[in-house]
Amino acid sequence: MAKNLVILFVTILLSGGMLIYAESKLAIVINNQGVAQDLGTLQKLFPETKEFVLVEFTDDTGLIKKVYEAKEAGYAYVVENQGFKDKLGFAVALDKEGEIIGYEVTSFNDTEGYGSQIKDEPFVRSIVGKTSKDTFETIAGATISCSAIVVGLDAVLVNYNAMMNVVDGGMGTPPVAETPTETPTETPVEAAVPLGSPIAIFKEVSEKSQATVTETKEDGNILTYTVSAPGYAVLEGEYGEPLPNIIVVQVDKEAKKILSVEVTTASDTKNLGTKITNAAFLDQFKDLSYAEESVEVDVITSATVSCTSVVNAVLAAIQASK
Amino acid sequence: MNIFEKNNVGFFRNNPVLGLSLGLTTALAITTSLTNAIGMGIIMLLLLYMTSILCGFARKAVSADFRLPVNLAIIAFLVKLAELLIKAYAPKLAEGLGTFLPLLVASSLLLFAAGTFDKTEKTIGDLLGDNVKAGFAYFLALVVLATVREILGTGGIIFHDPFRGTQLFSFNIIPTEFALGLFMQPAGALLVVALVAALFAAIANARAATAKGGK
Repeated sequence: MAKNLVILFVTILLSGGMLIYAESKLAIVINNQGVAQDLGTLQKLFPETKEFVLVEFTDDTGLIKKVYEAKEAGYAYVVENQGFKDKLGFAVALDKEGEIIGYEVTSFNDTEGYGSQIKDEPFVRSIVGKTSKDTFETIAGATISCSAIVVGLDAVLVNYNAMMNVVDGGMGTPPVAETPTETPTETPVEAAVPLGSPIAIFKEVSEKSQATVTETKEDGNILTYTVSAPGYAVLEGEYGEPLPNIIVVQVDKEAKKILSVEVTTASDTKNLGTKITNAAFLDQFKDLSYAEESVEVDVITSATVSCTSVVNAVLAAIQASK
Repeated sequence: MNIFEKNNVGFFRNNPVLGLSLGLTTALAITTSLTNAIGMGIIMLLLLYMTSILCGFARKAVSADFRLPVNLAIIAFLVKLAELLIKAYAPKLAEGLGTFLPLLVASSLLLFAAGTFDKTEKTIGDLLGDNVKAGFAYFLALVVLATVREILGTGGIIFHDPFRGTQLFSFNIIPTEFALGLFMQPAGALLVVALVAALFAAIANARAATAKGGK
């Protein structure tokens, strides 16, 4: 019994020890192999740089696959997102000042002639030269492929800005040891969002996307509805317990006018779907007459599903007011 | 006497994958491409060989009650070492095999190779002989399954260099529009396993009948 236990213990100890040694020796080779897989792309993005190191990162969207630091030059992101037919892979390079200096499509299987526009000069020009605080636009006719790239780029910029401490209004400096000093309270400046394709308020809504009025307040002709609308998190079944977006819609039923739309809870992907709280988007609804059923608003590029949930909430409120 | 002692492992009769269902999960998962199948076949062959030797020594030193934990420790060590080496020197293969490479630690074929299921005291030489044969039989099964699945599922074969990931050769037999994606999925894998197992059994029976007739 004792002899057997000693043999088991020695076996485990020896195996563990040898594995730790092997791992320490092979870790460098494994890292270099990882770099070797992307070396061709990395050298296109940073032609002057010879040394690339894999960087550890966190990404809530799951779209960023690898991050490399190009020594003294900047960072390269390897990104993958679902395109029209298949996965789309691309790499984007940012310098230390936050400027996008390179963009390369690494895998593409969408429709040639349409989706392939993401590889063409006009689209590349619309990305390269922009900074980590800018936004991107899609191309008509290649919306799904372009959106896949734009959503991936948004994830990259969120990660880059967090890593480099870039804040709204400019490049930040890394946090230093805090000293209790008085600073004037500033109203945060909201970043502008790009408004893209228009969407009609009066339209057929599928059963799973339909918004539900949860609370109604009446003050003469002014009706205030609290509406629960399934957004990207619910419709795409994000991990955990996905929650709907909660929107408060105020309408004047006599004048057939939307008075205001406010998003009280934005439950969709952080920094993408949560753009629906942006004033530029919500202000479109202000004093908007719905007497004509052709009324439209523009959705935010790369937050189409979340914006549609707001539009569905407005439609539910209008229908409830009738 | 248990099933593994009664049945001598062979290429067609009692093939580890198609006859005894050993290592079947891995076989179903990675036989979507011939490259992965050949890679996994070679890895398994080497693991079976090493497992035979190390577990053969261990069985001389520990009693039957302690054989399982000791064998498990040895298998875990060998599989982890193989995983590290493949990630370092054949990254494309490691990518293709994915999680099924570290999962080999729970492979019933390796436990079989360790002699865990045996009641009799086999020598290292016996274990080695059995396991090398089992390894080659496993390799054959994987190659046949992957060839059938890749051709039916994609229309042809694309073979990559497992070390560099570059394409070595490719050919197409069925036009792509007639390829059936089902065969690249688990349900299709089970269908192919059933068909190939039946074919192997038929070959084994035909050979047995020939041998009997010859006597």
